[in-house]
Amino acid sequence: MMKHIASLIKSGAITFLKKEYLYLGLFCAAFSILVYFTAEVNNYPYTTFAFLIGAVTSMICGYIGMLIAVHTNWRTTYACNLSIDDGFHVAFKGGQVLGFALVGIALLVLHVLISIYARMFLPETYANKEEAIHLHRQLFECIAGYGLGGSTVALFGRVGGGIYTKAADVGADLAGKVCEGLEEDSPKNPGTIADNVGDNVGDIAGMGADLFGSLAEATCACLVVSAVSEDILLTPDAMFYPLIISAIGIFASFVSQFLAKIGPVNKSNVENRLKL
Amino acid sequence: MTNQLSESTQFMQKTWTDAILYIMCFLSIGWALVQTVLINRIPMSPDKVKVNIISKSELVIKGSDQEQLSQNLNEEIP
Repeated sequence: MMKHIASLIKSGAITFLKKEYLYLGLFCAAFSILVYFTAEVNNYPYTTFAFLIGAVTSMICGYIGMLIAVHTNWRTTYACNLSIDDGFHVAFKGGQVLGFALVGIALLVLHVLISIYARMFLPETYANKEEAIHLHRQLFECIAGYGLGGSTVALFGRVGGGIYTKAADVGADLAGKVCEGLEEDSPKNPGTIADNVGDNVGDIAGMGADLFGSLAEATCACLVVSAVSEDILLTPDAMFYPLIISAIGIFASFVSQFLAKIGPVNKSNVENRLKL
Repeated sequence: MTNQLSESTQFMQKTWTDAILYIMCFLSIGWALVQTVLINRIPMSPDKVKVNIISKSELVIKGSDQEQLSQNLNEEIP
């Protein structure tokens, strides 16, 4: 029964996301034309390409998050039936997948994009100092399109999913609680399935895209601001400082997640475990 | 200055920052994959479920009340 309800939620969430990403893809394609005519330099679509890569990566991150969530949800319910400790560990594993995959993919794609653009954008030799600085600044301004793409998808993912989940929640409550006198989230209420689908697409896929957007935007903004300084341009390791900060964050998270697994988890200490 | 910037372009491609970034990215993605495999390997046995929230037959009975539900929804709110 549990598996049956989980499969209904999974198929509903996948259907919603496919439809949402279809329209979002069309919007991004149209918006990329605007980006091309307003933000490009030398008529090469560097910013547009970075924008599209950011949008696609954001969609992938949201989709991975949603898939692993619907995959983990019912396993957590099952594990909680055995003990709170088991349920905590299953849920924690599910959360780790989205967190680690999102940051890893975001940084990897951004770094590869910078490396490719550096090869394509920058010449072997420069005519003078001003040209060299100007080209380096333009390079990182083009990279900023990556953050814009991520934020665009995050905006629609968060808002679209949020409206859907609220509509499903209110609909389920009206039909189930008010008309039929059922309890909140009662499995007898078909609207509960829609409510759970909304929770997955809004709070997980939307939040995943939102997290990606924040990370990509903050990192790209730092790169653009850093490129203003000649001193920083002369020391590329300093240019990559924002990316290194995120990379160190991955290592810190990797080490600290083991702390949450030390000892059994019960009702009294579950909150403190998560705060670790 | 010109030479320094030219070298710096090369430096961007092969530096210790590259190594750290790639190691951390692959550690992160690899760890996510490991966790996914671990979640899939959780043994699921219906016998171990202590609380049966609702039976399928009960849902079917409730499903037959769709007409009543539709009627309730179509009633005018006073």
